[in-house]
Amino acid sequence: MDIHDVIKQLNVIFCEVFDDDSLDINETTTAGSVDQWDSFGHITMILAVERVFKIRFTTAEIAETKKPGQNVGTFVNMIQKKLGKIDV
Amino acid sequence: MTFESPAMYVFLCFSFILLGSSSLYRIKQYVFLLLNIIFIFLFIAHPRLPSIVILLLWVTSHFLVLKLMLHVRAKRLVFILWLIINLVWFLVSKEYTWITRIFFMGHMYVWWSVLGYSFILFRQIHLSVNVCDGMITDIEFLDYFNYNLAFWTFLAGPIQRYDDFIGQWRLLETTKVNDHERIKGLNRMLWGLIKVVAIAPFFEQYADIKTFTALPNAVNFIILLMSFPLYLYLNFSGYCDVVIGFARSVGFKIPENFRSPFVARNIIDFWTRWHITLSEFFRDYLYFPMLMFSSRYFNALASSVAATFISFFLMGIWHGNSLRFAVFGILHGAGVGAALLYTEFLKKVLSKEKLKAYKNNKIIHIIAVILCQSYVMATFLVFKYPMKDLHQLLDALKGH
Repeated sequence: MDIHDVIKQLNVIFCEVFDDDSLDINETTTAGSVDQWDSFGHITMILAVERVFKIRFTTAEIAETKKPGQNVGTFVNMIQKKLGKIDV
Repeated sequence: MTFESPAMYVFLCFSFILLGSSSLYRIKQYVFLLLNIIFIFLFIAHPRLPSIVILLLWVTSHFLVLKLMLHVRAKRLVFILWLIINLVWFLVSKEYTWITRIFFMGHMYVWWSVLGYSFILFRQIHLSVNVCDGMITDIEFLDYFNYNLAFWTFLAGPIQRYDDFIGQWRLLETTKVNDHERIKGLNRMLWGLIKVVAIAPFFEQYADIKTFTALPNAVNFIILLMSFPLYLYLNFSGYCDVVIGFARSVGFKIPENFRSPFVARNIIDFWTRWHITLSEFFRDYLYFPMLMFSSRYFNALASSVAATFISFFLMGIWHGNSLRFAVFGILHGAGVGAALLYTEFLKKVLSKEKLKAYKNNKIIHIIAVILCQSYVMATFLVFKYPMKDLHQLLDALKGH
């Protein structure tokens, strides 16, 4: 699965979790630019990602995604690493 | 030595010159380690030498545990064992007698100084989780000790993450601090000092329940309600300005800890503005793991409320060994839980447009800020005063 496929699937998850069909995310999208992407929304989204991609995130990884300056791109990289598409 | 004492600023001048003049990266690291140990020696209460030895033994033992975790497969088991032992050590050292006497008979006499323990514990937990989860794959002796004992965040934070700290150190190797940055840092430090020594004490003098009980009227109650939170904010944010400003003057960035907390419109918003690095720590290492685990089996919203409540209860306990800090945590947990439920309720009953209009409505915003700040300030009464003083306060309010 390449980066575009991951973002495409993520967009479906984001639309559902944040209840907004007009969302069109890309690698630079941040929590500040998505309404309702708060701490609770973040975990709801991560649980949905885990379910769809059949992966698990660790505590340290989730903390990493909430650091200032992180965006969808960070998240996509993490998903790809877990799917084995990027060498760590 | 105290934070307000002139000796502190002599030490900072000395550090400014030494850190600025050591051009070699490795030397700078050793100079920093030496400064950290001198700082702790100057600040720590008597008995100094045994207290420093105990502190260094504690920190060294954790360093060895991390090294062990990096080399064994059963990382999680080592982590759990370390966490249990470390939490017991922390509770005993900080004399949490109302907790420890549930498990042990009697009370252990702690004769050594426990300065800096609360914040070292956070840094250790953060490091341990990240090593356990494979986010940190190597750790050097100098990096570890400088991170844990960094004098600018040793007393009361802000809680900097390890990768951020190391990243800042590596930047020192390649970049030179310009005069503009130095002046901005020193300016901030000066402003912080003014807050700590001149403005905060003005509010502190009014944070006295006896002044209110002597003359209980509405004006005195409002003064009592506002004076301690304002004092605490000015004192703590002033301290943060001093350490952030000083670090900036030598080319090092420390995360911000405050962002206008008294304009928060609900308790969730408040904790994104007040002691930010502390709430982020509890969010990342307690709230998130609990919510992740619980949401797999139970309703997500109910899980979030429960995780919030437990996180704030523990955060309250961390603030001090008296029972009233636990009550403070419970009150804030209830406040955040209520805000969370109310937000979800609004999402359900209002359309997207109406929800946006609700959030942007200025009158609703002002009312929300007043309600939120009144609640926050009332909870700080519990934080500040022992129960017998609060009883006196309640009696005076009833009488009035």
